[in-house]
Amino acid sequence: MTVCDEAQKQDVAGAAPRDDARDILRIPRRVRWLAGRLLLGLVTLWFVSIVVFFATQALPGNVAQIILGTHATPARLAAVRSQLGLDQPLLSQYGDWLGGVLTGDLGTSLVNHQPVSELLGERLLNSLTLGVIAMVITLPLSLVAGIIAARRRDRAFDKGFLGASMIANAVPEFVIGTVVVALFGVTVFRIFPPVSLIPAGDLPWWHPAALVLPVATMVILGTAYLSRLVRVAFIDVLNSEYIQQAELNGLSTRRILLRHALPNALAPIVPAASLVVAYSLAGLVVIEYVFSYPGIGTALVSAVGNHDLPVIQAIVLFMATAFYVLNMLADALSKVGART
Amino acid sequence: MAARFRNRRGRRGVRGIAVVAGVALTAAAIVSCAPPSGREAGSGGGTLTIGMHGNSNESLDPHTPVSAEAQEVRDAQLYEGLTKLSPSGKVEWDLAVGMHHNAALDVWTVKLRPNVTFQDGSAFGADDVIHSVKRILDPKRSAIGATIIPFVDPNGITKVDKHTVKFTLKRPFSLFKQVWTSPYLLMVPTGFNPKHPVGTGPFKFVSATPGRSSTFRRYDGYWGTKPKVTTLKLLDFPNRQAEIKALRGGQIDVAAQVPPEQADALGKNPGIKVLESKSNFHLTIGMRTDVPPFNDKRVRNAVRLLVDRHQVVKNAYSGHGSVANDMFVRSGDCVPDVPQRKQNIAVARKLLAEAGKPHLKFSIATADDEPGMLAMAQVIQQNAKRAGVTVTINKLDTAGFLAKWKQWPVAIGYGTEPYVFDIQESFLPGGGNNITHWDDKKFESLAHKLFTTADKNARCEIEKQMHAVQYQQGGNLIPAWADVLTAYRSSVSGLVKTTYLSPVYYLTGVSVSK
Repeated sequence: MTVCDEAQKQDVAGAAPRDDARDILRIPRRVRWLAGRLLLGLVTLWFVSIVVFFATQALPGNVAQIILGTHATPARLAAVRSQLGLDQPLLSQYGDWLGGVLTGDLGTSLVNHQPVSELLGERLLNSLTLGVIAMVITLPLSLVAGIIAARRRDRAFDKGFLGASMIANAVPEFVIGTVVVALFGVTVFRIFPPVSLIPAGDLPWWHPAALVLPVATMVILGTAYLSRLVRVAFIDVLNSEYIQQAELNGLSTRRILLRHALPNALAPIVPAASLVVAYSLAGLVVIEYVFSYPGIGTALVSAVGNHDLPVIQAIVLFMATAFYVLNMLADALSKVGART
Repeated sequence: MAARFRNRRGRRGVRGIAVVAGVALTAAAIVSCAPPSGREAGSGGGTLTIGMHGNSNESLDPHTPVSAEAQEVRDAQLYEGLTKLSPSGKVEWDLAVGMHHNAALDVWTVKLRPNVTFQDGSAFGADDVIHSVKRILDPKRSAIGATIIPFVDPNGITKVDKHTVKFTLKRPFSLFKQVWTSPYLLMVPTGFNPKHPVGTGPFKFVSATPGRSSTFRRYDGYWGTKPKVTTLKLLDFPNRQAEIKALRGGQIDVAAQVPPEQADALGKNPGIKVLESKSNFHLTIGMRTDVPPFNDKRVRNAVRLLVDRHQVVKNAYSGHGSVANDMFVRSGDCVPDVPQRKQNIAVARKLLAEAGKPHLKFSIATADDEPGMLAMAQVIQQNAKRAGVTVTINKLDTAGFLAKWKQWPVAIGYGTEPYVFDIQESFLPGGGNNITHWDDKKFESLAHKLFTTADKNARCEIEKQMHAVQYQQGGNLIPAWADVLTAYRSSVSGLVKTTYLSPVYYLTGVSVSK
């Protein structure tokens, strides 16, 4: 077979119906979008790592001073700084760290010399467990509460719901956490442990009681925000002509709500939900601190106090990645929503 | 219609089965990940759980640069020193049973306790002491202990026999027995591996995670009084509020230290008690004696006279403390007979006028990591106004405060150590804790005399003179002593009141009835 024959054969294959050709072309465009977003994501993360690095340098005090405390003398400070590699130029310190990350090594903690991956692995699982359980409860609960409020618009339930959710949103996380602890942990009902003590090495779901109060706090915060969005989305849909038509046709309320209103209302709700998940990450830091929950939030607070840069970098990068991915998901879902 | 209805019921039924199956599968998955049975074996009927304010920078290596109370408390359970401080503050024998010196006080022969074993079963002896002291003094470690025994020559330590070690010092040091009580001078075996910590203490290591928790078990081969509890859990909390919540919720038996402003309310809770130790703990306002305006002793003494000390006890320590007299010793035989300094605005004004600073202005730098720091600064600020003195408070986080440690003209420090450590760390030039930059020739010559005097009574007289010098012209304002408040559940018994170290250092006599 000659080269010419080969080309002819390809031509024949290329003579497929035009629709198919468009389909084939459409995939690369999506891939291009995804690749572009991923590349942008990597650049963003790189930028975040630079900001975190220099912001940590700009904080008053350094690790050597924190370690030595009041026992610091110039000679001892110099010794500890040299042990930790802090006497190297800043760019070379950053370069070393970046080189490590690119080869899959997150470095070692400056204050206790343990590998960062070892330090954070278990804590990450603890935080994810907390976050996932809270979201699994928050999402359906917001939906139900929002639908009921929309259905009973301007009635007592709706007004009470709006008031309560606005208060919950206006109050800082730690206040809600503290109120929950006072109510169910230490003062009124002593049902649940006020502090989430999960021993190192244990999986968080071995201690379900320790999860109850932090999960409840996250659920209160997430639901207060998301259910209001659900309510508005449903009110919009319920006011539309086709719903009125469905009502005139005598369809049951349940059928109208679940079969006709829900799929349309979901379009604005789903992207909002993924943003709620992203914002919960920030709330996680405060909630973990309130409950002393051994997750990445408490690890971050402690690492910032100690100026333990490799640990701060790892946690912030993880959070930034999660935030970016969830935002991207929200974008993608809203595009899908807009197309349907 | 009926058929359709049945159909829908049917579909729901299938959905129901799917949901039940899903739940069952999830439950099965969780159960399969359930904790291995028997993991709590041995911890029942005698587990003491203590909450402390901990940090992830801690380790179980006793020879590190880190000074943190939670680490010291843990070390005190695993390791021992040559001598120790009793709860009342007396110096007692621990791994040593005798110390003899030459006439010049620069050669010390230490007799070690026989029949002591490490928790791995190996025998404790002279080699371990030599290894430990050299390890402490190794400059690469920057261990805190090295700042406490700078007079020990690492090359001058020799083994006389299995239970005798000879120290040839760089210079005479009379307080040799006292200095080994430091929680930073603990003994480890030769070949010590910090990943598997082994000491001679009453508890042995089981597990630990920095900044979270550690579990120790009673060491049955311990030479001294064996602990009453079988398991000891020490949990770290990121803040004292969490510690208090955990105590109230019954998650811990003892909260190592509670802030004074919460102690009374906490003690009123059923099932919770508060132990109040009249300790040597104090906050001190250090004024730099080497820079104006505080290089003039009239200015320093004027500031000392501005303060209403009773108000400090009331406001900063919520009444849990007592008035102090600008000296580093709360009570004992070696306190000089000097009048109690009281607030005297007229004399303070006069001193300031004489010094040419009638409208003195200064700023107090402080962190807020110990109870009362900020409140004390506020009392001084308020009191100073009455004499026309303007005080501003510069509150910083711990890192920011330490960033200019020893540079602040006026800063709040704290301490609870016996005087032997204060002399070296806080009052001799170059000491890491010398925030006042105190460099007084008379004081130094007294310190030299103290270190070269063998007779205990003569030393006591010298110490009185040293305290008196500081009282008359030192750079420290110490308005009050703070009691150490330890909260515990009423199921706990045997905690003792202490003088220098906190009660949670002394755990062998503590028991828990469940």
